[in-house]
Amino acid sequence: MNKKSNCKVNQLDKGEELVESRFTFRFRLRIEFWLILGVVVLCAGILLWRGIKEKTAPIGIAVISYDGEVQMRIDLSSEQDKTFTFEKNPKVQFEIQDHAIRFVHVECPDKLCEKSGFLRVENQTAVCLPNRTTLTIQGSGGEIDAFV
Amino acid sequence: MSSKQSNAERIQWMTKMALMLALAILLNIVESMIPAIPTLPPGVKLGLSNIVVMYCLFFLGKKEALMLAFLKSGFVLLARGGPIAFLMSFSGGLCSILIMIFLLSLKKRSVSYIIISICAAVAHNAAQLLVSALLLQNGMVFYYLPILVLSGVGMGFLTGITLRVLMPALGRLKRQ
Repeated sequence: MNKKSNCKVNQLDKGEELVESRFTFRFRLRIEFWLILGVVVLCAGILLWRGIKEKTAPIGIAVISYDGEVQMRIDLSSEQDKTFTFEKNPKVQFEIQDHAIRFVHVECPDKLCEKSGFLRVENQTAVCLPNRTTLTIQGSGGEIDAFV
Repeated sequence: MSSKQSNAERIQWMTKMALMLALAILLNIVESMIPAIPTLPPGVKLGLSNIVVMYCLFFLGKKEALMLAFLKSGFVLLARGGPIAFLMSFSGGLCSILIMIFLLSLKKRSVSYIIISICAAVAHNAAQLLVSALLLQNGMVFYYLPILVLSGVGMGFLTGITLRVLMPALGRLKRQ
């Protein structure tokens, strides 16, 4: 009995100490740290792998979607330089230059889509959320689905 | 608010909440003034106002933190770009608070504030990404996931450290 109650007291002390330890700068290498490190390494790895792959990847097909529906498909490898828009949302414009495509002159507050810059190889994506428009690049060897 | 509380207590609570909200909005504005760092991808932000939400959650309570997140998103609705911006802001805020509540409620271990801050930032980004995928009906936005997780860890670490540094000054507010 005595032993048990002692144990409880110890646990309480430990609990309080743990709560206090939230505030200390002592960085204990506990499981949380390793988990976060693992996630960081994984993400950095994906980015690195993607960066290496993008250097050698062929020029792809630009797919412009609005509200989840594909509006245009443009083969960047054969397209001339131009600036254009699509019917359903003239607030968004695209520019093709040197077989790469980007958002330009978009009417939205943050202009994040414009800041995404030029896209040219598979899986690169730029999004304009206020205008519900996405621009992604598909691989050139890929199958072309129906034109919606 | 229970009716048992005195008027003075109620006023104090209201004043504190107003102060928190003002701080959160102010930090939001200050943050948008900081020019984007060129090497970082577009859209990556510090999340300074999360410091206020974290403080609110740790010292005032769950209800207050949730309320603050909602009011902060309300400001976003009024000031910047309408309902989509509100939805993005609120989903991120809600998700980060829920993950913080979960981590704080763990009985067996006391998760350090910096870790909590990191998890909250990552949850914030993940929730926003999920909402944008739903809004756009397009899974391609998950292309941004790795970079958003990385930036969430980085920015969460920074805000966690900032809260830790500010803690002595903020503690005084609580004791009154």
